[in-house]
Amino acid sequence: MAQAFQKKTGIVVSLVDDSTGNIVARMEAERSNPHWDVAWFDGDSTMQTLDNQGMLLRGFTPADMRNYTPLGLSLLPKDHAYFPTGITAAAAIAYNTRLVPQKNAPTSWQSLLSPYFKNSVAMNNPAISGPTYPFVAGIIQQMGAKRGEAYFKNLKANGLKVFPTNGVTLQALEEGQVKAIMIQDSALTKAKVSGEPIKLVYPKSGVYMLPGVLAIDSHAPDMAAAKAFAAFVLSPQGQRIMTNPKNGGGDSYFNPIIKGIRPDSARPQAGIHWVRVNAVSAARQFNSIQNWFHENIVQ
Amino acid sequence: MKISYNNSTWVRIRATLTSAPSLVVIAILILYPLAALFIQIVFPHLFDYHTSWRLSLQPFMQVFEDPANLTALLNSLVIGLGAAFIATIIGTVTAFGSHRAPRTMRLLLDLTVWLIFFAPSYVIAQGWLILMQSGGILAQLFNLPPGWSNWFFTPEGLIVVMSLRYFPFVHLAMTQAIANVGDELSGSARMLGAGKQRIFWRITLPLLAPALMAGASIAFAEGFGDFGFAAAITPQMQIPLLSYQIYAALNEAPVNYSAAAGLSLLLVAVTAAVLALQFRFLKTRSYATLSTHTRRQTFAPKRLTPISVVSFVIVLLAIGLPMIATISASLWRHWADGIAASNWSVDHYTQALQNGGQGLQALSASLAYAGIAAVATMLLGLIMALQVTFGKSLVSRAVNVLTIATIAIPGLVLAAGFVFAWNADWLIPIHLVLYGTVICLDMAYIAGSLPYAIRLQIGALTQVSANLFTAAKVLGAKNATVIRTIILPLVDATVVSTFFLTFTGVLFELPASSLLYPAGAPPLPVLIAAKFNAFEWAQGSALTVIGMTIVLVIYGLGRYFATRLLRRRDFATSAPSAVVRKAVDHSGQHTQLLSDEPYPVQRME
Repeated sequence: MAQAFQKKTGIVVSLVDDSTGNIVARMEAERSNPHWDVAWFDGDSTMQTLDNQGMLLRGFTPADMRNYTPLGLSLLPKDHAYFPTGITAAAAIAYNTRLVPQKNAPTSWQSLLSPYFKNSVAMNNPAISGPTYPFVAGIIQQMGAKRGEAYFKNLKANGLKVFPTNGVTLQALEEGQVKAIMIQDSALTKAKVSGEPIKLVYPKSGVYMLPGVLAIDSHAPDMAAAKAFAAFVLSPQGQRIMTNPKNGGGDSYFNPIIKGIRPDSARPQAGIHWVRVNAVSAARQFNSIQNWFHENIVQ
Repeated sequence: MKISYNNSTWVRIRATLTSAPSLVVIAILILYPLAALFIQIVFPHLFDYHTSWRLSLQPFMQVFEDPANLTALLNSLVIGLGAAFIATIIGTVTAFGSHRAPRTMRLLLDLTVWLIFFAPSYVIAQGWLILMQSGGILAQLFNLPPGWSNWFFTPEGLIVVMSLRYFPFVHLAMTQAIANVGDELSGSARMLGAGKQRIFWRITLPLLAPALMAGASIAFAEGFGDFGFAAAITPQMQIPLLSYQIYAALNEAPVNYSAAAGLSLLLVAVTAAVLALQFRFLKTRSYATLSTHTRRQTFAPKRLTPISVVSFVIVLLAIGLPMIATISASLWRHWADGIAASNWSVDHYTQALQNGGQGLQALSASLAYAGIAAVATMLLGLIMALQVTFGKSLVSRAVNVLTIATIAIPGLVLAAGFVFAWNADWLIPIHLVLYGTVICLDMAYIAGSLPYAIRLQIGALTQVSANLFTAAKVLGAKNATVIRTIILPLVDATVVSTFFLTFTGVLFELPASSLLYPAGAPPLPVLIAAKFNAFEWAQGSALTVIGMTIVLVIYGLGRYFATRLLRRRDFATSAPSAVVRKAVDHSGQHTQLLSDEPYPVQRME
């Protein structure tokens, strides 16, 4: 993406490509004298916390905003502090087809509470893995605080394992330490495409929408270049580059929200019930939910 | 009387002045960055876009109000002490095992310990994981049922594996010390009728105490502040550790640097307290074993002694198993197919080494960073260790305490300190915003390894009797001569150690690399981490194995050339070092400075 932008505009892009946690830690440490122009990662609630601190440029409207689908427009915050660039599911279920025959395959979030899955379900720690917080917040929003918390407690009672990040959790699934996991669906799609023996399940009750978001630094050293980059990402040309797994690897398996752009065919589409997670309230409840999860589920 | 008073004042001032550069180095590399971070404990908004000196004790209070932090502190203490204790036993055994082994065996043993020393923590952790877990390599080989290894993934298991990771600190400090002890004292004791056991417990071991404690204290600091290793080995156990609390504070949005700083301060304080105890103990007596009478020990049995065999078993367990696991994994096509015959391929290596590819770029960048940092750390470490050991000024004592305390600081915290310190507003008008440049990254690398270098050097230098210098000075030797002819030959092995410790450390250092690398030029560890994050484990493992191979090749070449070079010099000019050794071993024979081979000393008639 950076290369394509460079080719098109002649603007040299210096990229820091890292996990969301490290990127945000770096942005926060730089805040007195920011070096970055554009930030781009999955998770609008995380971006919202940066907006709340006044770190993001507000009120910018790129030239081709009309390219957004209605869904895309609805994900745009009122202050235009960040721009959705695509969506994934914060978590879907994946099971190891060598360990779980079709007839035992999970169909809903609740399936994982059955004795069949005792001691063999894993997920990520939301304090460490970026996409996991929206998943936890989504369950709590949809089921309500009481039932949502009860769901995770029951999972724990059934022997839930909590690993730090996608990598470890996926590894546990492939090695057969666990039979099923709940992590971001783009990561699952990538693993499936690379030939690992896994199958994806999108529970009927819904999966929680995780927008990839892009923001411009309110004190960007090179504001013009930052705006040009944002416009490029939202353009059909930029989107076609992004949706090609040859360019983006696992990050290419998202659902576009720009008109006329098709997702990669490896991504399942049929029968997915998307549930929106309210970024503003998820950002507000961040500390309390994280603490609750840490004290009741992780430990 | 007055004259002598002035004189002593002058000596004191001069001592302070000569050791001042050390303090400047420490200030730039460690004190200033840490201060920039720690000051946020009380001024949390100091580094906001609009600087505010608003005082707030809230973040500090939070650290102590959260009961989870106390539990975490205790857990970390238990694990750190446990790992240090076992590491000390293992390191002592292997050091004697190496000492009592035939020549080639000794080289092999020391080389293997080196390898463990080099090996990045996550490689070893990852290796153990691939090997031991349900469905891992051992389970596949021997058809073991799921859950067979649950005993391994416990705090006790963690302590054992951690000590297998950190014992080289003890081993390296001890081998040099054992070589320096020589056999004069034990020889005298034997003449006076003492038995082997008695000599060992009453003479040899007590004399080795400084090295033992230097090694043990580093092992403790490592285990106490460890995050990566525990996180990898015991992800499902969730033993809350202090380092985990710090990591969590830095990885949540909004990032809480004040809390991270408060917890780090706690970490530093505990480590400093434990190490201060060590110093009190050492102060009570002298451990100088190297005097003008010391002969390099010559003992080299022809056959393997039991202790050497035990040492071999230990080192192979510590590095062989996890390395084999990692190398295997780097050769698998699909992770899920494991050791199946059709699953082996070198694809990941060819991909990593593609010309003009990411892998090669990152590798060459990191090799350059590592080379610079290693040379700088080696030189600074030696100079500063000399000042700390022999300097009497307040400054050198301050440097001493500071280097210990900083060992406990997690890499991530020091790296964050570097961002605040070298990206600060006040640097803008004087054009010294180093953050975002290669210079800043390399400074952080040096800052991270310097304390280790100094500690290792001090361990070796504590044994040098001050009388050696006095004697040399009386005979008219200048400082430079003393350093070249007396000190360097005595600490050569630790100098080489610090070079490679830093070199490898930098090649695989993640936290500073990730927070400080100049945008657009990711170094090797960042790329490896990205591969692991993108579930391309085999690729990540392949890059790791390539990096480690390079380190080994450089180490081998370095030793080969150093040995040859020094041998020639000794022959040609009968170099100063040989002159000193004339006094030392009465034979004046040429010796090799950079090898672990025993000095070929002829018995006195």
